[in-house]
Amino acid sequence: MAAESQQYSSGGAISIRNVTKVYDPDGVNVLAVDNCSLDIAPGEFCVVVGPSGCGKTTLLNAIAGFHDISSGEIHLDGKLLCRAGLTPEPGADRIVVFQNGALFPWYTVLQNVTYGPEVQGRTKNEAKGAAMSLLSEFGLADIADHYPGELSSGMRRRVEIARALINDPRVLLLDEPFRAMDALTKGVVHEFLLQAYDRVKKTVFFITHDLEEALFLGTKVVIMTTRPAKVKTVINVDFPRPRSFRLRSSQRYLELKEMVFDAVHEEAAKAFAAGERELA
Amino acid sequence: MTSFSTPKPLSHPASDSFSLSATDRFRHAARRFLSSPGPYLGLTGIVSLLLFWYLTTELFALPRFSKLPGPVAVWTEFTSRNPTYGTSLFSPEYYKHILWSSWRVAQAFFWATILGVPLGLLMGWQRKIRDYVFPVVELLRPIPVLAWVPLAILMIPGREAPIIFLAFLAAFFATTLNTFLGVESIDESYFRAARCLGSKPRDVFLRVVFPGSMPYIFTGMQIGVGVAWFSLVAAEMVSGEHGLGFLIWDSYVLSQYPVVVIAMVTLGVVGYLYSAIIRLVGRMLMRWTVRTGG
Repeated sequence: MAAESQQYSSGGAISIRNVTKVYDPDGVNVLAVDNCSLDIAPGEFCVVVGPSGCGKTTLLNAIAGFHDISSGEIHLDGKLLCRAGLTPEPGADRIVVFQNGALFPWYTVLQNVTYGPEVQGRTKNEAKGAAMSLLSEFGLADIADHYPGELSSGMRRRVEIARALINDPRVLLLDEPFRAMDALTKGVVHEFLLQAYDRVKKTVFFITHDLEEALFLGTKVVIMTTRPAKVKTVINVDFPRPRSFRLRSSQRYLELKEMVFDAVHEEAAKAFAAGERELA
Repeated sequence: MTSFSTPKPLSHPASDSFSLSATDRFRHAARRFLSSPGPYLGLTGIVSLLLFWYLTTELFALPRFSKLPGPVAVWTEFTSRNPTYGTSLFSPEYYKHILWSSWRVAQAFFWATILGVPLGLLMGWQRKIRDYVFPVVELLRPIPVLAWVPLAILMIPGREAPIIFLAFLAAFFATTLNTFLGVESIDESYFRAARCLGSKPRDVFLRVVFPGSMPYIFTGMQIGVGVAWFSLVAAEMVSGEHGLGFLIWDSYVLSQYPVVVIAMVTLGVVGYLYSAIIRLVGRMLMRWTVRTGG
């Protein structure tokens, strides 16, 4: 345990207003996101669920600043992030944890974590001190000198979350980060993420197509329609925190699960039918 | 406040070997190497080659082979304190030729790396630079280095510089293109992650583009040093008064055939040493690729 923990700033209200995104590959317009609106409160754990390829990632990439949108606006704490015709800029106030992981394999765990502070102008020593205290706070100090290639996928994800949090971002954007993991690893990493969340209370924008994961982690579960994506239902998940894995066998959890499952199943069926039509 | 459960550092199957000392690890690797069939099969291959050489040239002296020096003749010449043709392990001339060639390759390789790596990195990093440079490189690259000999002699003054230039040219293309491919091979998500974390373009270049393409850079350098030797020998044969390539040609003209073979084998050994050194340096600089995988 570190002697003093890092101080975390508050903020992180995301407002997505009538966002539409049209892709234009080979002159054929593809509508990925259609008039999507969503408000996320500061510190809220928002999980977005939807069928694969529905346009969830498009939304996340727009918030992250990786690409522009065709109409609508996205604000973070009142600051305009994204609008049609505006070239977006990624920034350390919105950090992404990627689907396949993007720890730099050529840097050790410690070097990965100090990367953000160093490029943002802090001295090597400051960055190292902050990184070591964060790593020990998160129980990762023992692996500080290892390279990502030596770690398991679960451990890599933990390091990646730590690498994001050291920058004190307003929002943490996670794009199906635990997709390729086995159930046991997933459980452990979920617990880690929840503990980290309880500690830092950052706004989280988490994309998944795993309903159990959505209910277990989220405060707000947003169910998207099949492509073009818009918000179908928003479900508030009011389980108290800290949450433990036992939550999954409670009555209320099973009720919510049924509700979410019905909503998503409808969309999945539509997506499947649309796929059949395209093939026919 | 929740207390974090402390995850144990991974019990990686290879993690035990981290704690072993270097000598232990070497001994272990050596034992494993010797107990596998690989080295014995390799040895059999080499012995077969020598046997074929001996049978065709010395024992049966087949029609087209009878003029060639056999292994016994070459070995006798090579180990003689008083060699018939003046080139053996004990003649200073032999080492002078090796040094001449090595020094030329070293210079060619140095310039190919100094110029080729940055050019390749810039090509991969900035689309505009690639658009300018790539067509030129692709047009010039297929031209065999020997075809450059006349121009090299016309363009570059002196006797030494044109030879180095030819060796450089071959290495330069290999290094540049491999470095460029190395940048191309870097996953897009690393660039995105770098920008998320607040990188300026300079940081992306120094902390993502450069280290990310290292494995390809070293591959390029190994190929580069190989083709540098290749072109150097050709250049030395055409215009040189020292070096192993010159030695081969000169001995051929003077019908000192054992020396031709001695120089050939020497080229093989020295060339191997060069790429072994580069591989070693690469491994030391890229511990992350060596330990990866498990």
